[in-house]
Amino acid sequence: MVVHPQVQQAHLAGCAAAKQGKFPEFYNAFWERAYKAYQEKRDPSFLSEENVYKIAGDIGLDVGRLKGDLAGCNAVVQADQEELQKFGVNGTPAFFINGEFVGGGIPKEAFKQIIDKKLQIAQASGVPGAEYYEKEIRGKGETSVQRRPKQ
Amino acid sequence: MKLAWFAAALLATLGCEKEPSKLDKVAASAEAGGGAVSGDLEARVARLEKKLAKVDQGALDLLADVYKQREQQQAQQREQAESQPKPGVIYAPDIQSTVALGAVEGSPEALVTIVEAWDFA
Repeated sequence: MVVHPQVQQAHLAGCAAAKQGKFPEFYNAFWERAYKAYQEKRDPSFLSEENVYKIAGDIGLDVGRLKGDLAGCNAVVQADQEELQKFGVNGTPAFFINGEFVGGGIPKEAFKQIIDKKLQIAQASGVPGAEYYEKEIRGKGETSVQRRPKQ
Repeated sequence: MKLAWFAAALLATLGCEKEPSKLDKVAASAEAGGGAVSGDLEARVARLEKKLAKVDQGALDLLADVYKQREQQQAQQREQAESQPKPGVIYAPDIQSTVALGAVEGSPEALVTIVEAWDFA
């Protein structure tokens, strides 16, 4: 992830929501009820800490526990950003589809084509899905963007 | 017809008398500015050559600056391009901690993994 300062709290809350097994629910709810609302009305209170907690409570998260987990999530968010920086990711959205980089939004059909192609390759490898990413992508792919040494 | 021609000639004469030539101003200005037209022909040519050499050096310095800036820009662009993911290369972000955290959707048995760089903005 790439974090803009105004939504730092939301990112931390996303991490804390994941600790309660509700990351996708929080992610979707925040988009709908905070960011989209902020975009429509230009009211920064939609991105506020209070609204983050309200959304968290509304989707059934334990808000007290979530608040307690926020501090520990700083390191998680930081580590995610550092990992992406190794690959030169400096904007969102960006994707790695079985390791193939897709920067920015692309048409759904183009996205589907890449997924289908990657699926065919994975199926042909005979490696089980649970092991595929670690074995074929992590094991054989580049772990950072290669840079030529400066002369 | 004749009268008209005379009148026109008279006006032209008066006009010449009232407005001095622009060349006169240039010559006067050169004299006031340090005697640029003084000395014999060789001295004047030498001065002109000296001036021209200064102008040439200034132009060369300017060009050198422009080239230097261009090289710096190109180096920056190269560095930027080299630090971007390239097509046809398989990159392997480490997702173990993200998966362990639970910031993931879909089946752990899936053959295709999409790592998304996202932001709430």
